[in-house]
Amino acid sequence: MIRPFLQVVQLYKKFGDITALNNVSLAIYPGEILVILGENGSGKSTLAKILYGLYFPDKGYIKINGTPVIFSSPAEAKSKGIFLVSQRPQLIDDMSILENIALFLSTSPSRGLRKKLSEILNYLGMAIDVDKSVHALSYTEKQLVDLVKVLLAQPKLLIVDEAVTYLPRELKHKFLNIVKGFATRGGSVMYITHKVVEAAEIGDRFAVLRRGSVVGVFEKGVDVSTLRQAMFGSEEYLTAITKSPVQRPLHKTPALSVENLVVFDEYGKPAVNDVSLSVRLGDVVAILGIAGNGQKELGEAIVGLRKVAKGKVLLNGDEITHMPASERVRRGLIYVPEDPFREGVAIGLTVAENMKLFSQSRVSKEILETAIRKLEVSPSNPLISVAKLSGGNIQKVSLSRLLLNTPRVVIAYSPTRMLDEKSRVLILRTLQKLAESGSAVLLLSEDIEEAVYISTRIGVIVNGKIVKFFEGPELESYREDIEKVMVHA
Amino acid sequence: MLVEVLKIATDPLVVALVLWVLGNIVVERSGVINLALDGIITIGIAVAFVSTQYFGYFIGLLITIVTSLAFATMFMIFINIMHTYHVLTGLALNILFYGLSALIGLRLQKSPVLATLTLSPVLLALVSILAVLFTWFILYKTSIGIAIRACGFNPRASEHLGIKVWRTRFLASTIGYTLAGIGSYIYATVYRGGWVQYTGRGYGFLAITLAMASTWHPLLSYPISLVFGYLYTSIYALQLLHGIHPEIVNAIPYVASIAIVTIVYSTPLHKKLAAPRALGEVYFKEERAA
Repeated sequence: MIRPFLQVVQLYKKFGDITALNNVSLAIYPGEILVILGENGSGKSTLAKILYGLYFPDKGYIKINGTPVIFSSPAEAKSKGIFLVSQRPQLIDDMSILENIALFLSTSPSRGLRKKLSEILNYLGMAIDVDKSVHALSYTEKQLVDLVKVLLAQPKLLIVDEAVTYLPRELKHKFLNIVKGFATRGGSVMYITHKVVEAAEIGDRFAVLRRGSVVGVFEKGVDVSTLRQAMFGSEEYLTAITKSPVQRPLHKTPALSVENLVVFDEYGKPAVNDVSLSVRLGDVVAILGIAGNGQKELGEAIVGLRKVAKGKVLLNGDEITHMPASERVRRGLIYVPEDPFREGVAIGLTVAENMKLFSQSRVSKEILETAIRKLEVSPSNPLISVAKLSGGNIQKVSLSRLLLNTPRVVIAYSPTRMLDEKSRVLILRTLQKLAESGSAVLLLSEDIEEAVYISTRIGVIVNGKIVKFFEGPELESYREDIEKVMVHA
Repeated sequence: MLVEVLKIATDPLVVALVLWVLGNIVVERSGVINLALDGIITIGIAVAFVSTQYFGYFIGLLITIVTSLAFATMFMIFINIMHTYHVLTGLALNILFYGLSALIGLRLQKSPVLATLTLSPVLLALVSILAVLFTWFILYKTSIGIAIRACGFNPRASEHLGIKVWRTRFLASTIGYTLAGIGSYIYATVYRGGWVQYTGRGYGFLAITLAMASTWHPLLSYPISLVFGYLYTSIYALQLLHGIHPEIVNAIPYVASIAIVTIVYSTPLHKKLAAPRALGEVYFKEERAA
């Protein structure tokens, strides 16, 4: 019996009142690819971050080759040969590719490194000048650089956290082959994904996480349906959302329309490039894309938080392109941001104070209590500081803006990211109800599930352009096509 | 013209200013707003003055540097270990440091004057030019410098890349405050040769402003420091020759640096001259996730 390279022993990690990891024990052997399967929010990334020294576990420890270790930073994890490629590229945008790689390898940007880097980039079919600043790269290119940096190091354990999930297919194959080769040479790989079929293809062993606990460990050759069942258990929350009847009477004229919109990002690169779309009252339209393809900038431009370079935004037929955000809110255009902590609420104020801010007028006790009850904010005391609530409840407080005003148009940007399943369903249902009661909803998302479940039309955005619209009662049947469009083009 | 430039470049006040600006650049490149600089300079000058009276010039220099580093470390502990707000911490510490400098100077001085140290002008100019090149080399050509700049751009991504952010910032403050300490020493012993309460107060803010005006780039900071050094050293001449009020001359660096920063950030220039984007951001390693 070979000895495991790494063992995690009874790890616990809590964030606020949410348990991210609950008594997780696992072992990774040299030369194997261990797949960690789980849904969003099941604790996969938290596990990866603890192994890489980014988080400190509340309880439990890690053993490497049998000796217990404590990592207080990624630098220490790296020195033991543990490398993480995270979900979103972690690079310094203002520096060149070469400088980023040099940083990661703790060397200076020498000529030798430059040569080695160019070689590996060429091999992957990415002929980019290594002196180019990272901010000038596309999202896919950034992901590539993020992956290349670990290939240049000498990992013993390579943790890949959904980093290849959304790469274009050919590149993905190249990378998976590199990863497999690495494992055959005796390295360990921890491959984190929520895609069961992909997992079954690459993995030697499978550990399934659900709500922070390991619910099963399977050997190679396991049935895909067995894995799926372990992943979802009996609770399939999202299917609990019933699709609203599609033949709802829709108004003919759009409540919100965007015409040939061009928006620049912080570095002067077009983040939204010639986008046109329209949303009618009673309708839910989703703009779907991999993170970093322009959804955020599109949303911010529509609500007036970002300058529009070219094109028009119309609300109920009136042009609002250059109107201040406050005036747009007054006209019924409400924005739900992604990160409730930073953008959604004033964190030091109480729930009641926040709600008063949203409504911009006197709020009676009854209205307050109704909103709290409808959104199931817990604890339900309106006089408690928002900082004391959990993430899901803070997002609910942020969403109360939708109940305190009468929104005509709602723009929601990844409103369910960072949330557990239950809050997620509640929030999606809230958006759905708003549409049913006659508002127009534009959902900007990275998550194909939620887009498919609540919207009637899905536009796929790639590099700031909407490349295709999908429409119809059976959007679910287009899932694979939608995914293809998201990663290709 | 050339004579003028040489005169400025060898002026001990300008040399001290260059060192303070460079010190500030290194610290702020790591992402820490360095408002405690003014207080630490004021203390450094008082310590340089007093310790030279007791122990002579060389030991005085060492004591000045060590004291500057000690107080800088205190500032860094607040910001990087206790995660306090940069601006408030810096301002509060300044008040404390002003008081301390007065205490040190008033209680410990042997006499209110000190025989100035005469250094050759060439040596002085050389010190500042070497310091500029040294800072540039460290920041742009070594792995330490790249790490320092990375922390100023994006501490979270830096942590991911395997940099220990707090350690890097302590390192940056060690390099920066060594330079600043030398600057304070030159000011006290070579330029001033005397001490009254709060000598040197205000230069720290000037240095912070000049660093911003040079977009935190060491090579750019040199000509800019020379220009403002010229204005500073010729306040009286300007007043006599052209009737310009000293208050106006004093205000020029601040107005000009705001102008320069505005120009840089409203034009594509800012892409070339990347400023530390995360300057002043309170950084915790563990973000709070839901």
